[in-house]
Amino acid sequence: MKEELNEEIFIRELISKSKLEFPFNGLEDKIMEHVIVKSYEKAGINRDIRLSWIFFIAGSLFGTFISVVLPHFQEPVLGFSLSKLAVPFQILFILLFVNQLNILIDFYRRMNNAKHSYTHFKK
Amino acid sequence: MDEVYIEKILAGNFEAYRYLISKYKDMAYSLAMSVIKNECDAEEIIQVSFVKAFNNLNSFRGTSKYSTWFYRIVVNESFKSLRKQKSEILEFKGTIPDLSCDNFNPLLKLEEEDQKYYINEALKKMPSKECLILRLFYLEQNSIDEVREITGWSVADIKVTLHRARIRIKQVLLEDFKLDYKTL
Repeated sequence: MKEELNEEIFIRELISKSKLEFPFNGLEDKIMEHVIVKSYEKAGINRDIRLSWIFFIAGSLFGTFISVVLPHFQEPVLGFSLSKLAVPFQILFILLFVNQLNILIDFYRRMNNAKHSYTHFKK
Repeated sequence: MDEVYIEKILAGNFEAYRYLISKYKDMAYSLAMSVIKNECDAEEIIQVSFVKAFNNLNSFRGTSKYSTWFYRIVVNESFKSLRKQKSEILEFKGTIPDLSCDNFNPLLKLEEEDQKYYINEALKKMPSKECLILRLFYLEQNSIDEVREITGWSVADIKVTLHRARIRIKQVLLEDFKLDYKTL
């Protein structure tokens, strides 16, 4: 028992001398450079995401407004009946709305997957 | 102490990350070298690990020590790199100063630098898992639970590997370097 304990102490002392010093210079600078570039990229992406949501919401509201208002225009403009444009416009608006929504959902799904694919606690 | 710096980083003061790099680079390098046994690859692993740790710092919950969380990344990256190389142990190719002279004295006391040299060379010759566990348990003084968290191995696996590692380091020192570990 005592011998085991002594051996444990010997090995602990032995291994305590095994710490290696990082032998290359400039590690901090290299990593910080990378980190700062990444953070700028991230900030840029976040700004773009914010803008895309703003334009999506604004476009959706505007499209909805036009879709509702357009059939009520009875007066022709430059000899052209705006009410006849209502149905094609509504179809186009719905297609664009669904498409843009799909792109945004897909983007968030991919972003989420990328986040989860990096599992620190996976063996 | 680490928490203060982590909070600063998360608040946007990225320069605070320098503190964590300089604090953990040596131990991270020691761990990477335990697994990969090659200085250049270890350097790359350290860089990748630090960048990954930074990018995922917001997912660090603080339930364990930062060092445990970070070493887990280093260990994962090291084994990933090792799998790429598809070689479990790299043979030692350097020259070992010959101590096996005729009048070898088992009580010979080596200088601190020589001791370090022989211990690290012996560790280089050991399998990655055993070398890693010795450094985590004895050098970094992690508990079995912390080692389990860092490596993801089972407690039984850790205990068996630790036992084998203890026997092997003595064996390597004695057979390859003609050194009794008690004299170091």
